[in-house]
Amino acid sequence: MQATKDTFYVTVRDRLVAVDPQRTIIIDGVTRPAILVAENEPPGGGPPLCDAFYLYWGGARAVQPAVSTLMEMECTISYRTKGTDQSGNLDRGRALASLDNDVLAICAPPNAEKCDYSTGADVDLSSTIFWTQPVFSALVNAPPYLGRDVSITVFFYPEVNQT
Amino acid sequence: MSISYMKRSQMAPAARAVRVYIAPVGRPNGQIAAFDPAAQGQFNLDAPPVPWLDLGWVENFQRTSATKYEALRSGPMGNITVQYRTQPEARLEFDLPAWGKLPMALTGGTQLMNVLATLPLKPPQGSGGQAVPASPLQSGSTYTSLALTGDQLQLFDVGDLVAVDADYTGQTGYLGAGVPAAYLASPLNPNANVDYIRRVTFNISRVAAKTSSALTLTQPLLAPPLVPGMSVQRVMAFVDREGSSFFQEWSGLFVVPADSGGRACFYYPRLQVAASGHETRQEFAAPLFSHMLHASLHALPTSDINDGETVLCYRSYFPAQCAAAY
Repeated sequence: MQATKDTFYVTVRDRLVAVDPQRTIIIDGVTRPAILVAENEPPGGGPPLCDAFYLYWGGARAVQPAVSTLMEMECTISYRTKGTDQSGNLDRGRALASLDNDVLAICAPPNAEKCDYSTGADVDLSSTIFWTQPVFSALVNAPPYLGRDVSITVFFYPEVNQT
Repeated sequence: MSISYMKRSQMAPAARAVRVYIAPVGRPNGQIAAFDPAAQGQFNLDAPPVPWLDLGWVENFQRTSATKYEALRSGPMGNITVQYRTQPEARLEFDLPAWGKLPMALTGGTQLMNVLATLPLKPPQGSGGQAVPASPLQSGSTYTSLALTGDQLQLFDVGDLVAVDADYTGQTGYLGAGVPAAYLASPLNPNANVDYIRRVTFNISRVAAKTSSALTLTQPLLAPPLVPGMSVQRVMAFVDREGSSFFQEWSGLFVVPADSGGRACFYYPRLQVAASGHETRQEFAAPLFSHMLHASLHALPTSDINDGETVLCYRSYFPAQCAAAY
């Protein structure tokens, strides 16, 4: 499953760099694309950053266990914004819409070649992962933030040499 | 869990929809657009090989065979000795969410007429009344740029649909540049029907911009080549007619691109409509509904050059990279 998680993350991260190169965050003094995998961040870290995408991996199961090894795994992309200080935070809605647009862009096309990144290099695993169209939750209004959760189901074929 | 079980799992295509491409059948010589799985099978779905034209995604794709299976029987029990097939026949049905010149033509199956912009105060007609006179193309015209004289340019605006083809001069047979768009068994009066070919032609596009000497088009004209003597007219709508006698004929290519890897293709060398055009209504958020063009098509036979076998449809499958071969 790790290869699936890594492949999905690397795919959407690279697409984000392409479609919205200005959407970056600074962590530990390093500028990086504004997308993170929550389970790869330090426990007890600070609250989620604004204007950044957090991937949360959920449950997984076999799709048709009697006839196929195909599996599905839930993924939630969460993000929030409080707009910009220059606009007196009156642009929260527009900022959220911009994040929504980025999600649509990075999720298409809804498939990718699966790779193993465990060695640091990308090793082609000769199968694809693919996912459903993103489903956007209702807007979460928690002043001063506006946020949203996006649900996606990712499909993959497990490899024997993967954990 | 065995390796073969995992490889076998990838033999099952997991796909979202079927993509459709068509190409005109040359008539009367019967020239058919080829589809070679080895050379063309893995084409970019957004850039199909020439001469295939993209019709987009379809719903409810359903193939049925109507070929008759007969048997020779022998002995007191009437046991089957041998089977054979007669009257090879196949049908194809699907729904096209998108309307337009090509989708309407494929599903309607008869002349798909361009309703030309009409002169004011002329008697109305179902397929278009007396049209605004055509504007002759000038030298330098291409598939994406129509050169016109300055006075004629004033007749067109950005956003207009346009039809480009020759004047009708009394000819019979198949008419229309590039794509056989209509058939006339006997000539019309050329004086009264000078625009007839432009009424049926597939050589259409939309004006994207105007320069001082030309109309720039949003899409290339559909049916090359451009030849001297062609003219352009504004198109207001498309119309087909229940009761028409003409049968259009197309080659069809239906692709099932699997997200799980692999691809299935269904290549029909010859397709004609099997029923008059009608629509399928599908509600998606009441009261909104999708009014899809329903295609009911008949596959006509061809002969495979490799062995002379009769063919209605070629079904090909490109296995996923890591799928079992068998």
